[in-house]
Amino acid sequence: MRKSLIAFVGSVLVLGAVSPAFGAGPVLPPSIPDTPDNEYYYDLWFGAPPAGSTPSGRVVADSGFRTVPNGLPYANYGPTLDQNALFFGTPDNVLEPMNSQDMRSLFGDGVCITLKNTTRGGACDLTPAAKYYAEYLLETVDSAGHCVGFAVAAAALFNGLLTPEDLGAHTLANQSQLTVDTQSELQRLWASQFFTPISKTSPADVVRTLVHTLKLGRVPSALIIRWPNAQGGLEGHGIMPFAVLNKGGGFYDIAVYDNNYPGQIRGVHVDMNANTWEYLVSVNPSSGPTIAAGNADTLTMGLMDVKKAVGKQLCPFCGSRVPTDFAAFGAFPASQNGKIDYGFTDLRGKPVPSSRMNVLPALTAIGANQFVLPAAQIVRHNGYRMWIRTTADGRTVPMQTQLASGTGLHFVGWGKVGPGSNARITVSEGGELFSVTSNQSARPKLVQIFQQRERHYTVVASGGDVTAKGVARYQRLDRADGLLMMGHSDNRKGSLSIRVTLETATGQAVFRAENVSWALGQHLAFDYDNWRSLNQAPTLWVRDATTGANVRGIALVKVG
Amino acid sequence: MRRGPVLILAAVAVLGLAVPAAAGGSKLPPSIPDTVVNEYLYDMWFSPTPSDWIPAGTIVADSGFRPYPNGLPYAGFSDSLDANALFFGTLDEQLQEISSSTLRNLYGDGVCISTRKLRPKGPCALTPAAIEFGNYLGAKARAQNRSLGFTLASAGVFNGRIDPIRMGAASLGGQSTLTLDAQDVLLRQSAVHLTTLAPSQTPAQVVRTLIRTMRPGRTPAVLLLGWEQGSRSLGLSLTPYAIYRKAPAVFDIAVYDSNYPTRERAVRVDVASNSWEYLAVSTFGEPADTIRGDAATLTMSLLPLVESLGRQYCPVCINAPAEDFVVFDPIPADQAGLLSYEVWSLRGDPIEDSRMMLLPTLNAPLAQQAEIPAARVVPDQGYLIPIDATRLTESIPASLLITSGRDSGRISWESMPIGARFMVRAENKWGIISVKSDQQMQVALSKSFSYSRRSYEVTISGGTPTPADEARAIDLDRSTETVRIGHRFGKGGKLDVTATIHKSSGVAEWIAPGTRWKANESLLLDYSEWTSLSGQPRLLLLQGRNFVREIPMVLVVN
Repeated sequence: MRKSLIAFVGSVLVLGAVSPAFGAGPVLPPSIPDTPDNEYYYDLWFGAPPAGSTPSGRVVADSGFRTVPNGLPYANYGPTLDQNALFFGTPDNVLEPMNSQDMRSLFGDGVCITLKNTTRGGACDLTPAAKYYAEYLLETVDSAGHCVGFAVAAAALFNGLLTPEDLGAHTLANQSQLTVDTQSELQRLWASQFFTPISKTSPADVVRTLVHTLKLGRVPSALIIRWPNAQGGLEGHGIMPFAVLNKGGGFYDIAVYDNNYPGQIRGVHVDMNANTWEYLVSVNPSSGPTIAAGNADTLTMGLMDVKKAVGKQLCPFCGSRVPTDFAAFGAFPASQNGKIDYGFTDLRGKPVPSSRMNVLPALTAIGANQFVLPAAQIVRHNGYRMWIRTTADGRTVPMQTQLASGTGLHFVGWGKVGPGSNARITVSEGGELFSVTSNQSARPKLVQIFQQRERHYTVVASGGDVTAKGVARYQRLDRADGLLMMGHSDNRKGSLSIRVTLETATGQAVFRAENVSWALGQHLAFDYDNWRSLNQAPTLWVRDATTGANVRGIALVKVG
Repeated sequence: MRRGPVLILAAVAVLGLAVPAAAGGSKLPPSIPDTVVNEYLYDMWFSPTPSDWIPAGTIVADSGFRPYPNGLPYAGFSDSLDANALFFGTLDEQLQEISSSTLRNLYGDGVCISTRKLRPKGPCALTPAAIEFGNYLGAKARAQNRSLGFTLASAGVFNGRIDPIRMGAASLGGQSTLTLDAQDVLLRQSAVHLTTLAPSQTPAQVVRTLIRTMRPGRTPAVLLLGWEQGSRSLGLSLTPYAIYRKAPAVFDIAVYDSNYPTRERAVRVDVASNSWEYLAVSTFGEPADTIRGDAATLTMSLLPLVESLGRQYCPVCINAPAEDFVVFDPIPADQAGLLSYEVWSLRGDPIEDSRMMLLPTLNAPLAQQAEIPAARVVPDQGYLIPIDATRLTESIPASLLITSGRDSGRISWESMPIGARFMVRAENKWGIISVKSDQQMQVALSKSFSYSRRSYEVTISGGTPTPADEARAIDLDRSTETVRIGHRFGKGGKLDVTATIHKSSGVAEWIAPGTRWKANESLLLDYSEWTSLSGQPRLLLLQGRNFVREIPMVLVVN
């Protein structure tokens, strides 16, 4: 490719600060309703970059990527496409979970209930675990925004790791149409952040790595940044670095494509001497832009390998044993950011060492009214406890927790959790025992999804009598006997509503039993081993917890 | 609307000249074939604007329009949508010709054969003259690269005068998809250059006018620039959206240029020297260079937006026109400036200035076709149009259209000979149109004329070449409802004769191929009894005024 015509591209950018009073700036046209929110977004997306936000200096590394035409032509979004539809003319459909092709691309063929009559990488019927997981990812991405997906997508297309068609484009990312398939692809690439390592290095190391690895035609990494917010919580963002500029005196600018500002070129400022970074971010229509910052101690700036992110990830629920569990929460109201915390101990109550645990960054969508706690990977060993606390000044909010253990998925629906709550989930016996307890009496819903050969079972235990504070409600999978036990710690009495589902390649069958009670010294046992086909009926027993003898059978009613 | 948050938006970006070895610059991605043309277009469309040509200084007037998101998100185009499809992912549909509903919107109902039972703003059956003129407008837009259409359409959407939906957008010009409807709007707006005139102003006057008339939410006009490149007259339409004072006597007019989608660019005006400068491409494949003009050249003007978006004076609508329009179809760009014409009185003198106005052109450097300036002529008894093809370096197709109210005449050369001179005679009041040359020629001649609910078109073409100094002619006599066809000075010949009747319910076309006549004979088409699609014209061979025989005609379209 000739270089003469592009010689003026490699540049030194200097941004002045002239802001005359006569300047009207961008004006909301008549076709857009004149509301404060619309004005905020119009200025955010179409106003000139604020002084100091644009990279400047001598270019020392340049991939050739440019936000136009290589960035996506619409903005990062959370739970709705309304703003994109209004300001960028994209479709305005209700967001859906990732499609089965993208789930396969992300996690492999284990997401499919069968591969019969499917093409390689094509659509398939998802396992129940995969469906649950896709729903979870949708809920999380709705709260967190798709920033990492945008960053990885733009880089991967530029690098040739994705085809333009993957993003609804003809040749360039800037042509991308935000079709339902593109939305699914962005979710898929966004989800890779949970499984692709993000470097924990200092800001100076990030600059050095980028200078070393940015090559013409290649954007090697997405840049993940995090910063504390005013409430004590964390915000985060995924952007795409495409050039590095040396401003002199140890100051560098990382030129980035920021999906919150489509079409603009923005700069992350790094002071190599102090080993700090700064970046101007805007996260909420009700507040102005703020300067996010970090340093070598906070380690809040990291690089994520684009090639690895596009590749297949380790599936946390596909039926194969993996050494780590993946713990995550549903979304919370944004007002609770900083008021909910969690962590891990071993089974004796000692904090787990950092080598056993990896907390993943939580990212934030502009204007989102929800937030997500950072997810975590925990090495299972022989078991662990996960504690969840809410501060005394918080509000009563719904809470959901999910644990993926490779061979199965566990969900806990806590209902509404009040201020000052201290809850605990215990996973032991190689992940087969799963119990929850709280310092407040509750009716937590336990869901377990597991696979036995080609059969997929979902067991939901909910409702019933309140489980007293300090008492554990549990599910324990006994694969040797083909049973799933449910009950209370110390074999206390109780009651539950049970719903069981069998799914195979040919369909599914659902049975339920309402308010099944058991006495002290007893628990419930669901016999899945003898429920192997859709035309069979499952059996549920009240059993003696000590001897294992069946006390009585419970009639299960077929649903649908 | 609040103003506070946007005060920080006016920024000065200065691009230095240092180009370090590490700088990669923009890069053609793997999905675009690496050809010289693609590389040129990629660099033109996606490389940053050189800092000298980014608007800078203190803003003294600002409409709030910005190329992003208020400009169109694809580039000006001429004969093909391929480059836009490749680089901007636009629909790769057929090029749209101007529709009858758009012609109605542009000129009014006079373009329709009949307005009975017509839906307002809907399509209609066009008169032959309107069809001819519509075709010309399409060719003209292609020669312009539609730059006038782009700038007027984007400004119209911004000002709330054009519904974004018509541009395939939900709310902003930047969302536009290049639908057939959007193409139609671009054609409509490209056409106004013939009928909404830009007053002559000096560069300093243009700046003062813009400062006075620009308001938040309102772009008052589009900016037209003209310049010469060799024998070619080039032109460009831009949307001015803000004025920056760069130095005490130097202003930057911030503009949206359809050749650089989403880019903020500046036309520099020095009000002290009363001159302007702009960075533009003058030749496809070459880098952009500085073009200039001043108070003497008067090559900068403002085309008012409100008038441009409104109903235009119709060149093909009324029965008693004050002016004829003389227009050539665009010719290959490499022959631009080598084919010229004048307008003379019937006595053979150059026509007075008061009777004729040459209309400006907007020849896009990137287009493959070039416009020849059109003229508006007060017809009086008639006029002559001498055409000089002596400077052509290759034989080219050419076509001249003369509209006179709802009537029109067209003269078409499939291959205009090099070195020839032609004389066209237009006596529209008497229905005469003829052409002769100092070389023998093969030329097609057609005449269309309208009545209240029907229109006719008579065409003579093919046959044997017309000898030098003989004139091929069509002579319409409305009183006898006949059209005399043949050679004006008595020589024999051979022609294909086609006659068409247009009604709102359809079209019927009759042809008499290879019709011969001898010296002192002529052909006469009698349409007096031919008033319906089921009727039939009569083609008569005359000697002097005496009937010799009727020539059979064959129905080819009904």
